Amino acid sequence: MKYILVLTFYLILVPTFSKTVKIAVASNFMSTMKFVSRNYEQETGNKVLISYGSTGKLYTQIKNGAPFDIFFSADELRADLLIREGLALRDSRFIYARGRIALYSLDLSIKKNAVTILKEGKFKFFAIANPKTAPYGSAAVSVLKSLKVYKSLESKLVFGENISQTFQFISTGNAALGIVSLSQLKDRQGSFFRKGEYYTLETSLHSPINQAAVILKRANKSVEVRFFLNYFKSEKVQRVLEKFGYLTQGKN
Amino acid sequence: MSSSLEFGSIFLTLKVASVATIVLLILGTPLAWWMSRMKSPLKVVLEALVALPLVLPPTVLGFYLLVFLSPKGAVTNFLSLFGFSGQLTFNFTGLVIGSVIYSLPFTVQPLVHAFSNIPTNLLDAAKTMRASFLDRFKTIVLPLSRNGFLVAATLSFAHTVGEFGVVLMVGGNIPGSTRVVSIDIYNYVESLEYDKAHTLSAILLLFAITVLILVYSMNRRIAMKEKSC
Repeated sequence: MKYILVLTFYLILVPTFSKTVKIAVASNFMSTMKFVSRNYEQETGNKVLISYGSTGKLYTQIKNGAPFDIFFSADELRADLLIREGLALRDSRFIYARGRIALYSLDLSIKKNAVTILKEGKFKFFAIANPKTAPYGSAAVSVLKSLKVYKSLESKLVFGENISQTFQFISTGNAALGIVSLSQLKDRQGSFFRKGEYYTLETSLHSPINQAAVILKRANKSVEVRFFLNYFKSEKVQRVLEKFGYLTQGKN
Repeated sequence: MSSSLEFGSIFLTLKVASVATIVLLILGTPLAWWMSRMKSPLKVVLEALVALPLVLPPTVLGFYLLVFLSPKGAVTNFLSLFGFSGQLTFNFTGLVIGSVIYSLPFTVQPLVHAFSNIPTNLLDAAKTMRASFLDRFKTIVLPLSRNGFLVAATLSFAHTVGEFGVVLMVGGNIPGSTRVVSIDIYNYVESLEYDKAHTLSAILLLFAITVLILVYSMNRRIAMKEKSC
């Protein structure tokens, strides 16, 4: 019994004393952030605790007192709202990545005939992320509008809660094709979902998917947080982001 | 989004829940009867299988359904042997299949409990009077387990109304077609439209409390009846 008590106290107290950075990350950036933080932990010995979720959910959690130090949003809106509400530091805001999107299908040869396939519309379901809640979803809608196929495809649209679910709709063959984030497709090496082809969509077809990060008020004086962000902004990490299919500040 | 759409999602939810409850009672009754009379050790395995949706996260269940019900999935392939062609996901059928699996324990468990309480000698006596199985079921089992059926139906209906993870996965969030109330609420919260979320949540909350009070008052009536016997 005594040991259990000691262990419990240890488990409760240790995380509050060690040099841990707690970050909230939009799900589209999950695999990239996992990769970056693993390297960071190995190189510095510091710890990073990552919570994933949709941007809207993370925002609501932060607003209601969730104990995060940095918020990596999938858009600019939620980061800016937190600043306006006095929950995040204005001078800490930066665009950490620009998302790119791609058409993805298991069976259709979209690499060659992407536009023709969209115009003909000979398929049952087209998956995108919910444009009302996911920035990648509204980017997908604007691509369809730019290509002038939105009206004809509207009745075929199915909506993933986020970009991961959208990916699942397509990779399980339930939707013939759809629009997902390029980073998901780049991340497939060795994963279960290696099949199918994708076609990267020009950024000129949609408004930029600017993903903003902010330091939250509670981490105002934290040295570890600044340290982590410096690492994140380093040239090496920026190359990683590009490898995962994001545009960085350097390359636009 | 207009307010008419909100009520569209409420109507859809009630439709899914009603159809799912009817299907559940049709499938669940023989299954529960079989389980309640079972003496082999297989019963434990069946009980575990039926209870599985209580334990599995809905997203896991939803993902498996997405895989098995996909146009090339095992279930669809099997059905195509009987001439079925079409898609089981992203439509009403998919919602009902998901709901039936998700709410199965809420139908089967109360029914097994009710059936187990029916004295075997009563059924045996009827058998000696040459009552057919259907006869015995109608005149003995049904009246004696009436409350079990009521509880099973209400709980299954209510549980289906409240489901979220599974329908989000197999439904695809299509307005007017697969977007049920719980998904509507979720969308509103996600897009920071808290007032709309509040309104719908309040309706759902009121509904849930009414149903639960109904179920517990039924339970109480049974308990009081049993005492007075």
